[in-house]
Amino acid sequence: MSRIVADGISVLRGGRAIIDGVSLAMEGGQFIGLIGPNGAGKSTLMSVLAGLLAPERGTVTIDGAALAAFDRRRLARLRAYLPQNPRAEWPVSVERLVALGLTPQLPIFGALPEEMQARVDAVLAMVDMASRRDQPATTLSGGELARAMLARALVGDPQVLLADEPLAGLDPRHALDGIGRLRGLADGGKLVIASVHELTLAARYATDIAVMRQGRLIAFGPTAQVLTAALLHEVFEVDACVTGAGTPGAVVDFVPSPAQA
Amino acid sequence: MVGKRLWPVLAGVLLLTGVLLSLGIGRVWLNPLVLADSLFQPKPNLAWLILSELRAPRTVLGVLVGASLGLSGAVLQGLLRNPLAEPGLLGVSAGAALGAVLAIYFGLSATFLLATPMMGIAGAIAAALLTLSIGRGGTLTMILAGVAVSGLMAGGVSLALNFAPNLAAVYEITIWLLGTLENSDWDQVLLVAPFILLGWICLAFSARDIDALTLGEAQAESLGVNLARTRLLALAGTALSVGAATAVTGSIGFIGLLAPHIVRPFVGHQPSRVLLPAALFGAILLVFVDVATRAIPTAGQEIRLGVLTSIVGTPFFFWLVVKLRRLSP
Repeated sequence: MSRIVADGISVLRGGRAIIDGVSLAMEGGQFIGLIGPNGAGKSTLMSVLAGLLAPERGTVTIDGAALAAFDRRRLARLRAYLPQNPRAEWPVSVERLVALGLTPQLPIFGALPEEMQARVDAVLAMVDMASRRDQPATTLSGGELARAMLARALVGDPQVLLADEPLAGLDPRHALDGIGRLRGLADGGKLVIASVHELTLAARYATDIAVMRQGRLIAFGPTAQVLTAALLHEVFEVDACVTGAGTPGAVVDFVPSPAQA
Repeated sequence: MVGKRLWPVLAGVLLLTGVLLSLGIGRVWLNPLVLADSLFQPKPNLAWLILSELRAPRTVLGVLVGASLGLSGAVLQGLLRNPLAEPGLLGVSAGAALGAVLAIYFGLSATFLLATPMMGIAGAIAAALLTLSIGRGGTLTMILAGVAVSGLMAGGVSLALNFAPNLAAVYEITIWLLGTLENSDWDQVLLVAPFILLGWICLAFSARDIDALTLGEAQAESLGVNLARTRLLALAGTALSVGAATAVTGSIGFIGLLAPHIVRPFVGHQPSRVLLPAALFGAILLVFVDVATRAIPTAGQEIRLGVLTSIVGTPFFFWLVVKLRRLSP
């Protein structure tokens, strides 16, 4: 079980704070849905937590060790990171694309060892892409590519998964599948942090909700306590109707405010 | 379509054919019997001297240079994820050309034969250092810095032509710039081979990193790739191998661009698997084009290597573009 602690991190760009003094502690078993309006700093926070962006102020530690001092390959085995809208740059096969997730485990030269091939087969089947394994990744649709990329992130069996909008572009069935799988990982003891715009799905599957607005973390806690109509009104500036947050039947619906109606 | 398992055999046969042609074709026909006879004589005969002192170094140099261009092109296309990337992109070739041109301009080459390649190598390394110091920090900044350094070096070459003391110097510089393997000797091979081999090692060590870059820079970094190190390996490898190659042969275009494209479909487009076949096909292309420069009958001068690669390479590239256009959605 991995524990990530961020302490007072700030990221500045052109004198403006994109992340402004964010502190939070997360550990294995949690599936944290990161929500907030566009430009709230969600993606930047994910990059910092993934160790790809060094914050100007504050520190991030994994299991007590500073992220900045971590060995690259050790970190790569420990956590997987999926950026927003990942792209395949060459028409490699889907299978090959997924196998790239094993890069930190591989020697510099040589082919994929057999036990790793079994791992690739397993994650391909998990995301329902086994039949597409030989197709060039550049010819996949957006949703199919998103599924292949999720398989890429999971193939190395990371303790921590950071996924930036992993559900974008997925059809309802695969979106449900995908978020259910993220929750399954958390139930298996992994730490999953994902930014999500589909609030109903977040309300149903996330164990915890972190809310960002203008670079600040304004709420963080168990889904049932945090995800309320009052909070959504404050953060997204629209009226929302929230029922049963944190339960499998939760619904979040936005309604036009009286002034607009 | 060549099968995926068949290409190493095909490449080997082609390379061997090219090497044999390169050893066999030239102004004079070498009788194999006379050559064989020479092995048992205490004093080598003329045919043997032509083979061992002229054609063999020329062929070895052709293989080294062609492989360097193909390998460097493959690494740079993988690193920059740009099908138009080629070894000249980072200013290295232009730097080598400027160094060599300065050696000719100041008459150093007339007093000391290896001055031209030595100055060429120094120019390539200087250009690479300039590109690195200005363009470090990002892939795009490195490309832009490379373009700027290329421009600067090309400006230096133009300046040398502008102020050339006499027409003979202008002619010598221009002819050198067109690229050739004529006049190759073992001294040149021994001078550049260590640089070229060191460059190959640098380039080969970027293999795993450029594979991960198939996922884009953010994911590659998250997978433990140190992009600054990858860029340094690619730039240093190109500076050493292509810089040294250009220093002895002059500028040779298109090989570094074409070779990776030819082999890519046969290895499933995986960047690391493109490297070895691209080097092989770079060598094959260069050796065959060099054979053609000797086989094409001309009144006086041999047709220059760099001229022929451009003339032959361009239609080939058009064909690739048309093929790509058909494949892309």
